[in-house]
Amino acid sequence: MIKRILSVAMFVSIAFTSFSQSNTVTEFEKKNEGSGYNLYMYQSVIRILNKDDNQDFNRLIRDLDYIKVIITDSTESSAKTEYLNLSSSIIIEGYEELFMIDNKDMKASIYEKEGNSDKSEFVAFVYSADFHRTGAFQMKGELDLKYLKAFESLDFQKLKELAEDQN
Amino acid sequence: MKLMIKPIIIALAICFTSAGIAQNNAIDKYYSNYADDQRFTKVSISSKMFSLFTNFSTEDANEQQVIETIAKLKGLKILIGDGITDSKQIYKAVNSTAAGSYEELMTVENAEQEMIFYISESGGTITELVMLMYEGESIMILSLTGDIDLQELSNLSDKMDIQGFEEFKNLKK
Repeated sequence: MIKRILSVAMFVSIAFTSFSQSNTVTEFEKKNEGSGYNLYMYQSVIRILNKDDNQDFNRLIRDLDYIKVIITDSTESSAKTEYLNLSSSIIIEGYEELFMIDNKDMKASIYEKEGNSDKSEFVAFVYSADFHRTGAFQMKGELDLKYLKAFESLDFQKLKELAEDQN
Repeated sequence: MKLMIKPIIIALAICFTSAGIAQNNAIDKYYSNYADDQRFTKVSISSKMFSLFTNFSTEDANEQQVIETIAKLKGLKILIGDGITDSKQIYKAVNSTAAGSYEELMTVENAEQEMIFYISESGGTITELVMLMYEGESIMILSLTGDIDLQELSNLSDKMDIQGFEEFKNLKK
């Protein structure tokens, strides 16, 4: 339950901005190329996850370019180390920690960096001891939060099938 | 009655998704001390995160009130320990530190648990709320900063099941 809530919280939190990719995320992505789990969804794909044909869902994502999720396939110790390395590296890059939860089962954090434009850059990392995995979550574009309730129309079953197809 | 750790984390994670992490107060010492202790759950949220809630709007008056309450907050730090054999000693130590730095607001005690609230005021406005809770081998230390209205927090507890905050209903205005 808490993991799902945190995922939604992160989703909302980083929904306010378009951001250029940080070096930390880029390196993490390269390192895990060909292994683990990667999911890229452009707006056109996200639209087909609108199970209710809810017009507010389309309004919610109309300024969203893509969502990217990178999850490691690793042992427990390496996943935890990966998370700690990512967290350190992103701070060195000049990102500010916005949100953090840390316990023996999971670690999650969201970071922000002021961009050159009026928009900021956000990155989120999650480590799960249960699944021995670390993940990075990135979103380019904006969500129109007036329509956040339309998130209920997201077809999780179809999302799962899409994810399985990509991996 | 067991200390409801998960509901507290869940509720606060939902509600207070942003962080005034730059808090520098009496509670920070303990937060730092137990930063690497895996028996503890640590949560911190910054003011920027809270400010994101100003982007939300809803036609539901109750929901809007919740959003407005959260948007006025500046920071949150929570330290929750479970299976802490010396929880009573820690509670007493934190309590002693807090008593020297804050104004005591309210104490709630029963056979199973102790709970104490402290506040810090500036210009007639509550700028920080500290909540300490101890029960058996469980302990919670919470520091909330911002423009704090206890009545609004009490109302929030009704909607979000935040243990402890319902006690504010018992305060006289």
